[in-house]
Amino acid sequence: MRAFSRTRSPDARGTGIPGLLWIPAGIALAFLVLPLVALIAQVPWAQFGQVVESSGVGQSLGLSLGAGAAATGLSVLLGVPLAWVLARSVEWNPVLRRLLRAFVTVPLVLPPVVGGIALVLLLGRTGLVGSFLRIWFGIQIPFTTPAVVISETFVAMPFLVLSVEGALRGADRRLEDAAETLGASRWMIFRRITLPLIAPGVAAGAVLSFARALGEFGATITFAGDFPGVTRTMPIAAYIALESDPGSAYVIAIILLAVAIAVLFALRDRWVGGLTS
Amino acid sequence: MSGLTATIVVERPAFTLELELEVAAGEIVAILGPNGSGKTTTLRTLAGLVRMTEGSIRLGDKTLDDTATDVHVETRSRDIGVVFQDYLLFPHLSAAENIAFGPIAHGTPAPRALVAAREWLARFDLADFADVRPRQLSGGQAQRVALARALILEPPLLLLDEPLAALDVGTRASVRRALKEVLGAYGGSTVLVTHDPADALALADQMVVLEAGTVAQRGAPADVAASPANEYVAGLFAD
Repeated sequence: MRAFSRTRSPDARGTGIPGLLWIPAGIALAFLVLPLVALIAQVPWAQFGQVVESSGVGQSLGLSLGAGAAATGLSVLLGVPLAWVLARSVEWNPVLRRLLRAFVTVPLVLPPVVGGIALVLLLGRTGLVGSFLRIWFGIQIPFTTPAVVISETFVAMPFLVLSVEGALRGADRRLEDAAETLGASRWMIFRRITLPLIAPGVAAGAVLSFARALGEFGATITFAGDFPGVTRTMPIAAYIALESDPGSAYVIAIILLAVAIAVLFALRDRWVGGLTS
Repeated sequence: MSGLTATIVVERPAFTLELELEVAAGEIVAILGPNGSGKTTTLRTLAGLVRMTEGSIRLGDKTLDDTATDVHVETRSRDIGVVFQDYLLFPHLSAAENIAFGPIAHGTPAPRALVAAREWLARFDLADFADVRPRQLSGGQAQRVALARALILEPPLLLLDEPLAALDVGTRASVRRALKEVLGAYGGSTVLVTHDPADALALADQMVVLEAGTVAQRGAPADVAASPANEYVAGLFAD
């Protein structure tokens, strides 16, 4: 038995990597890491507090966090039911399910600017729905904070839907049968059994959605524009500041990097841990 | 009359299940057969989780299913206790919360349901396990929690799906004895599904042997064991 367990130890087995592969592997790693090193090295740490407190950056940070939270909330509220339909539609119509799944996945692979243009054409002043909103209710969505939330939700919701769908398909449906034999209504089964069982998947999806919403640039600048205090989120502020005030652009960038690392940390068991176990 | 009267026909791709069952109150009927013989389909049909092709199910003076008059009572309204294979305790709820789930679903206020759940735990020698999650229970303990969860609603019919299959051989005999005691105290009809003739011999008053969806033999377990009707039935008792 001892001899067999030896193969599990990487020391005894050796890495098995041909020497030549070390070079491109090293370049690849440097390619991913060095830009971040450059960013951290160049941040004007001495002015950090001052930059964050300056009204522009503070405003952008607040707007980003607020809009990101709203987009995440909207994604959970609408995305969980959609994930439900997606996970359970397998049984009654595989064609419908494939179609639904394609619609949900499109925003994941679509260039965000295209998403922004599409939103303009739907909700813009002369858009498919926007023109009616303007004429009937006097509502204009483009270039407002709600436009930011809508753009972010468009790009972020698929992450939540796919995460929750996976959790739903992993959940043991026989537990729902058990609850039903005990007299539970569908709503009670959903609230007391299924929802708690998929809670980790909902949480992971929400964290991913929030990260995606926070980084959103293309769809937001296309549909919501760049208005300080109204639609100028952190990524947009960083891009704008790069010309006039590089120092504050670096500070914003490092804050966004910190958030990304925090997200990775929050999901460590699910992703980073999952790769090793 | 009380008790269960059922005529079940379920068409499946692999076989057609055809079965008549009569189980008086206080009586235990074991359905014996290997995997794929239709045992679990029988239980799921009785529980209302599977719609049958033809037939009727009556429990006491209530008609639960009748294909002739298109009657089908939903699972949640059938008042049938089910102990599933692997027990299917809710993993995120404590033992007491699992048992209280049924009464709460029927409108009992949660605090009162939890008090009743603790009484059942005490009755089953599990008083110390009220706040424990199912994962931390042994197989025998989990089975008693699952029994309490089903019996707290005082159903006129109790269904047991392979109640001993999840246990290792060492604990099976003692859990079987404990189960026999619980079933002896229960006044309703019991239908028990198993692939193990020993369960049927130890627990059941009557036995129905299924072969690919049809009844191969029925009778008192000892009689069936003593004079199997054909080689198939004899084979089930061979070891």
